Amino acid sequence: MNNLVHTIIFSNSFIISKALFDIVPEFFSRTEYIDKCDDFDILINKIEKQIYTIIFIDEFYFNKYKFFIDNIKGKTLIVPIFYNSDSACNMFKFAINILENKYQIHKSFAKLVEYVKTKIQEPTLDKELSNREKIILQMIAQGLTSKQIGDKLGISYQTVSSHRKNISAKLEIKTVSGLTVYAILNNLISIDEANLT
Amino acid sequence: MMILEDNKLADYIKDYPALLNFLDRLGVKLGFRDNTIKQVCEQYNLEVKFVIDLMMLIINRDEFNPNYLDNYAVINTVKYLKNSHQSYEFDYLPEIESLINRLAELERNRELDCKLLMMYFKEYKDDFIKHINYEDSVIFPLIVNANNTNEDINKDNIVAEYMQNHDNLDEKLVDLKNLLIRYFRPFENIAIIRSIINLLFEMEEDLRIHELIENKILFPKAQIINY
Repeated sequence: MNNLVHTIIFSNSFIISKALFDIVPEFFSRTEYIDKCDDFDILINKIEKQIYTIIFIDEFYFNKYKFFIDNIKGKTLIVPIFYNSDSACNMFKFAINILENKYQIHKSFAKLVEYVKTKIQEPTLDKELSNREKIILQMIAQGLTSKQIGDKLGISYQTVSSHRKNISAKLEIKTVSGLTVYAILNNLISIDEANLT
Repeated sequence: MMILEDNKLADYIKDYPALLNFLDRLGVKLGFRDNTIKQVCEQYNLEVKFVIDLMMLIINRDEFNPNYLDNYAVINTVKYLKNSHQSYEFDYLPEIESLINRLAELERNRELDCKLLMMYFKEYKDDFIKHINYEDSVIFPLIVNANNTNEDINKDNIVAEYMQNHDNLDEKLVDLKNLLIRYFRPFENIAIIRSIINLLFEMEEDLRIHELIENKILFPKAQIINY
């Protein structure tokens, strides 16, 4: 789950951002820090590419960019960072109160993790390749393009691409060369048949 | 972490070994005793602000916010990155290659696996060298020129294409590590495999810093941060 979540710390305060930059990676590994934003299109574009994004935003930016926050769509959770428990953060499912002690902060983050887990469907992959995937992997290792594989198997280019993505996700190998080595090591293809330079 | 020019350079190196490569690429030799950053910079004729910004980036990584970006010449960053390229081409890659050769000599009954490993590595090495040569001969001169003339260097998507190639090379390195860790049958000579994997980790880490320098220092100076 950890790797599927992109977290953004959006704070004007050096102390708050520094502290969050130490704490957040304990729970979510992909953390980015933004101390100013002149162009929200870039930020929105970034968010749209992610599976799930959590934006930790301090009071300064929260008030300044309320319009932007209200308009964020998609799989994004806004977590305001406040130091006053009576403030507007009550409107949100989660908020970080910087006056809380270490135990309370960790408890809040643990709850946050549990919540996010329910929001993203982590692919529960069967790591074994299916027979179809093995055939496609053999063809990839022979140097065929997705289009050529699709033509040979009588399936669309998109279906081949989808199989390729699944193969890479299961094996955690992204490059064609890497997949080719895997195919040879697992006797799916001989070194002579493979498209290795 | 704040770095001040009057702080002792050795104090940082003790805590952040990634700075060793950094110093090497600046041409700074070890044995600088209790000299401050400023004193070492003076000794090697380096811009203090540039050195401090790069140290901040290496130590703070994604948190990095340059203090002096406007104050130093783009040519220094380019020179530093070119020196890094030399280190990849003439230190890291040959060392990994010689370890794979050594492995092949010792693991005679694993001829196919060693051959496969070498083929994969050589493909990566060739692509990598081609990429850094392109960077040295095309991209860097373009950026230096753009910085001097304010010319738009993105009009032909040169930078976008080059960045795509960058990602592909990163993936190849990660795949090599993954193949060794998960998919090759265990080799007898664990020490060699461990050394190869350690070098791959080190190079991956160094490349990450290299990329950050490009993305957070070089490209912003050339006004191409969004590519």
